[in-house]
Amino acid sequence: MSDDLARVTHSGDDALVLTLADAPSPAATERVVSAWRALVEADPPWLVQAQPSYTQLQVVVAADADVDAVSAALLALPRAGGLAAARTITLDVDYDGPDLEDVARHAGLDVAGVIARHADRPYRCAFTGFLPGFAYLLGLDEQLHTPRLAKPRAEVPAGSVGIGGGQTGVYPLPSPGGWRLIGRTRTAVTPDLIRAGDVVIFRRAP
Amino acid sequence: MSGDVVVHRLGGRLLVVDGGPGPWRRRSGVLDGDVRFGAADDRALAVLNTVVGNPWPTPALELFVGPLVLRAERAVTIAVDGDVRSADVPLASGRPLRLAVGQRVQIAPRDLCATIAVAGGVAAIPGTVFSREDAIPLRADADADIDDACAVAADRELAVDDDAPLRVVPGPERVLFSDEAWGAFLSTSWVVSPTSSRQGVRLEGPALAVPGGELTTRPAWTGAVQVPPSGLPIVLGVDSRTTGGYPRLAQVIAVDRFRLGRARPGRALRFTATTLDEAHTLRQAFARRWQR
Repeated sequence: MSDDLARVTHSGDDALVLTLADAPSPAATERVVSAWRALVEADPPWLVQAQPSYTQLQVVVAADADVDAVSAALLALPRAGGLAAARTITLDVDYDGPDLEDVARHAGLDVAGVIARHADRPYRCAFTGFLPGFAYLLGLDEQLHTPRLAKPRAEVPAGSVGIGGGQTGVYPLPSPGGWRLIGRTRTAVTPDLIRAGDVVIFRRAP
Repeated sequence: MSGDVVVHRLGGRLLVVDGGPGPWRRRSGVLDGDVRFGAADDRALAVLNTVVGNPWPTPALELFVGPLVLRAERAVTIAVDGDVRSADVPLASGRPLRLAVGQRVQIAPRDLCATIAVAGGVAAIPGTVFSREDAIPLRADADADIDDACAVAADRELAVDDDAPLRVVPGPERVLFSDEAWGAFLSTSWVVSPTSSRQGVRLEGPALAVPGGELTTRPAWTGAVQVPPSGLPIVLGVDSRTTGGYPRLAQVIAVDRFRLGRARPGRALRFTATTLDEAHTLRQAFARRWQR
């Protein structure tokens, strides 16, 4: 099962990170999500918490975990076959977020130009995390890539649609957050609404 | 459920907490692993549960700011990390306290939060919030077998030197920062910002030099010292999100994280570097003694 790319590293004193790809891609998503699903299903006693991302799977381990044995178990996880059949989810968005004009300025566009480039195109969910139901979406127009806020907000309202660097997504619950907010959806984003591999389309609310 | 303790008076917030996500919760089937509400002071949770004879990580109460008056509706044994009094007479913190029916105890945090363990445990899911006149449901009283040696060791374990630096190991993105930024982080006496919460402790002080560029979002965990472009670190708290995109300069080691939970705004915090080996040894020793 092992290959040259896969490696396990420490993240602090209670987490290990399995890296399975160098850059985000649909293939990386399949590898990471397959490993994550298999791990969660196996539910080993040393597993405190597992979090997938674009290229990595982080596992927080119990105090008595044998780090070498855990590393070997992570490297032996399957890296294919774990993605559910993709669904398409359409979210109606009011594009009136507090950072919309900043994003437009950064992109050298007007507000209408930002909306035109954000709405009505397919995004693919690479993984969920941050909050239950928060989906990290790939496929943002490069011109809309915008740095995160220098100082994150203490509270972002539920339903806010944001841009963080080259990513876009929706805050399912109120939360602290550093993404640029461009709009808000009225659809309730429940924890299992969007799964890894699903396609999400933002539609300008009528 | 065999009886109750009632919230007689309450200032601040009274929350049910346990050891946070982990195999214990998956076994109980109560909550899924994404839901947080671990104890902000996980050291007090472990030590006090041991004192009243409960296994790790039995749900307990966390009092934020306070004060609180509890009224026992039946005989019950509790242990408190905080200032605790009955009829204005101070009682011992960190010791088993047997409350008679009708007895009231007043509890206040010494710093930001106090932790209260109850023999048998609190029969409510973590995240439950209690208000004035709420009855707190309890599990059957285990009528714990208390040994004094344990209580004495508990005193030592709960005596915290607030001026000691928190120990850190380098974070996964340490290599993106300059040695000057690492040195400045370790030599600064930071001040806890009033905008801190269970999700993150924000630090005020001289801004650190931050690496340029944007990271893709990656996993993150409690104790991570993130540095956003402002240069002012945020240490992820016990209810932190499990992903983040700001670079992590350092990671507060597991056995020192309870000090983040109890640090009130305005308190000074300093950090010192240690090794992964030392951190692992400390964590294992603590778990063997107090998380059984």
